[in-house]
Amino acid sequence: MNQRIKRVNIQQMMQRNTHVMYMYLFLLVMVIVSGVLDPDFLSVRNINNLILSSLPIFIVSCAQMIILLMGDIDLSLGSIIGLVNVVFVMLMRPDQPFGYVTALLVALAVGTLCGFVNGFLITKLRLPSVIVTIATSNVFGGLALFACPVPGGKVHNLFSRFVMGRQGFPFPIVLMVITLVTIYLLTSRSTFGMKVRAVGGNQFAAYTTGISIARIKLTAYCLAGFLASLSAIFLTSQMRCSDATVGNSFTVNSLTVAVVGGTALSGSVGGVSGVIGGSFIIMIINNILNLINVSSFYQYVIQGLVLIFALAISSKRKK
Amino acid sequence: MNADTILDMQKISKHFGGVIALHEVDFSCRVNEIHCIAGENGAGKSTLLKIISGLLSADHGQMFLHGKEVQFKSPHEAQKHGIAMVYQELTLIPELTVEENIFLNIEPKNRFSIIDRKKVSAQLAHLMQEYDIELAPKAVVKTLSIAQQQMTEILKILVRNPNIIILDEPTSALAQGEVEKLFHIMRTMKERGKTLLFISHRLDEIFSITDRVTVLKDSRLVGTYETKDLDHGKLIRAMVGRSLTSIFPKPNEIDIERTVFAVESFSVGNKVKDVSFSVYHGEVVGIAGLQGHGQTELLNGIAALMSHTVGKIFINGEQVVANTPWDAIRAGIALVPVDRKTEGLLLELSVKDNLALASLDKRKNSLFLDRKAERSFAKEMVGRLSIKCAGEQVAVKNLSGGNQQKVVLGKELGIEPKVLLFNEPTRGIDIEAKSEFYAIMRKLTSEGVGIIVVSSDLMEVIGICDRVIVLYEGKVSGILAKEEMSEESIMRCAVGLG
Repeated sequence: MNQRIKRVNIQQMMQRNTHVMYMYLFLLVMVIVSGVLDPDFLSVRNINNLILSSLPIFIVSCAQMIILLMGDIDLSLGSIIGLVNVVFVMLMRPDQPFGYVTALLVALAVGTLCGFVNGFLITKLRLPSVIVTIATSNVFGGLALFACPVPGGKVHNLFSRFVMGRQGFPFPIVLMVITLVTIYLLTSRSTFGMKVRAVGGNQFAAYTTGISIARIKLTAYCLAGFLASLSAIFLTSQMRCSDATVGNSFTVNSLTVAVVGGTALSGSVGGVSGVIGGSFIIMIINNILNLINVSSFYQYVIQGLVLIFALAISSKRKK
Repeated sequence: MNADTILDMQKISKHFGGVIALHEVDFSCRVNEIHCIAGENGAGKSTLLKIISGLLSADHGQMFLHGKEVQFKSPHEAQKHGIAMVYQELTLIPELTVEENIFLNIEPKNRFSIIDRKKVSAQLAHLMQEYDIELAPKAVVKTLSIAQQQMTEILKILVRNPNIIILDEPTSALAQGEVEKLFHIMRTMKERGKTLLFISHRLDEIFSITDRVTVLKDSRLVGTYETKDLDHGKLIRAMVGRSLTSIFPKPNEIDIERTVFAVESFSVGNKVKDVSFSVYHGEVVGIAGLQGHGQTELLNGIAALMSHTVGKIFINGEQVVANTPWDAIRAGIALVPVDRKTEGLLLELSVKDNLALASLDKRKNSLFLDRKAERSFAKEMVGRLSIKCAGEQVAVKNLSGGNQQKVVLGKELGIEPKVLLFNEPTRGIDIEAKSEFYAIMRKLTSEGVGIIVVSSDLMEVIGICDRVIVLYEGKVSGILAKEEMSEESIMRCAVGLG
């Protein structure tokens, strides 16, 4: 290979990753500023807290990213989290030694099934994902409220302590690393990831290349549902009760994280390296807002504004 | 059946709704040949090739590959049988890299489906060397030129190692030098024992590269000929059923006392630098150059579609200030854009709606559209431009390329322009439609409309233009009068030697 081509190669790889590099620069500045303003911010305890609180949103945002790579959008992820949370707590037998096994398996299955329903409606009826997932979001959310009108219930103590990393095994960190590596391999290094990006980039091209668009979409939605339920189970272990509305903010936040992390709404572009940084940025913003006692109502406003800001940047970048 | 025959099709018919696209067409091709499918637009060439590639399936007829009957349900199935096609609408994922696109869905991988990047790079490097193609494998496709994207597409086909390679109008978007490069690759493929089927509208190309030509006309087979037995006249007669002595109309009287249009020291960003020229009454002015030397930017700049333009524009001697496309339209500047499907037409809407689109304000009843006026306007345009369609209510997507292009022109004529800018006016349309189009242009100039044509087809530039302005790196590198024009003189200016 000659020098010119090598140079173009490097140039292009840099260009492809500029957004993610800027994002990490921003994250670094945020961490430094927070550390200066509040010395406690960089304490082991706070960092541990940050990882614990970022993990659920990180996992859901991976799901959202995969859907966005296909050029679709999933607005039901938050409701899936709510439904899985309710199912998990309902089936939980807190007093039995392995009283969480059935609940865990059923909860994961329910989340995956929700994803399958989305995928089925979108591929078989050829409906746009925005409309389908808004509709199913109401269905899933409604079912959750029907099953559990008021927050309550209990979570198996040992299970919860293990998931939160309080039994000597650093489960949250392990889960984060496993998710990170798996999603990276899946979306950026595997044939599945290429196919997902192809579907998001040019469906005619995907078709003539022999990619089954329906199969890829169905698989991706199931995967998104599975990831949402994984996130829900972690969240439930943290809260130790059921609350049908617990997932509500996750839909918008997963979009924000994905977009902040450089995922394009138009498909094909994005990666988990951006999503993990995006998750930290969003959680640090929330963390700071909590530290300076901003009311949770304003937090919603700020979350919305951050999403608009991120979209504005990504649209500007496109030009 | 000849022993060399690889593909044999018998009595292939295909209908789209009530329209016959192919009627009992027989077609066969051999191992190791370059075979052109020629014919006017709407003759059924693309349909025939798409049936071979598995994108469409025939209603009737049989297809034999290596003597065995086959039926393809999808392009993928045809690929498995060694048939691959480069479609006119390129099938690349814009945001992925060259190498990701090329190996899409056939990536070398380990048992966990993780792509083996080393193998990808090695295979690609080998292939590029074999066919003498130079591309950066990590370049994102959307940053490449059309010619480079086409090379990517060709590599994507080659890596699947097909026996039959189908190219649907591969040269329509290429400049002269790029066509040479493509032909070099096509000849290499042929040397490797492959069969190439392709569509071209340029007669010179057919004679320079093909072994045989199959001519279709009105959905039927006219015949298959050995290229060496043909000449231009015979081929044109076979395609249009009559002889076209000249497809270009006679030039008008030019009145250099009357300047219809002029630009002075016109610049667009860093793409067009300090260009000045004028268009006289009765004149067609061409703008030529190699791809990407500012021709399109110059046109779009005049039509106020680009920001960062500097310079003066005059229409009939009066200065015009156009900062937005609306200003330009109001001043009487109309543009027929390069890609009629994405920039010119609303494909799902009717011929009438498309024609009316640019001049809606002219036919208003206070708040509402005057539908009667709109219909009569559409009828008039259809007649004036002889647009062939089953009626003004037909969706534009059902028209042939040439007629679609006429609709774009008709739409622009609705604003009664004083200057008409054409960007590649006859790309992908057949000879007869071209000829009609040129005649319309001539008629417009005699009515006092100034015409500026950007074209990469030098034959066209020489044939239709009274003067040609050649751009090199955004600057005027030569202005050639009719009698100075030749492919050679234009190319000399285009490479900056003018």
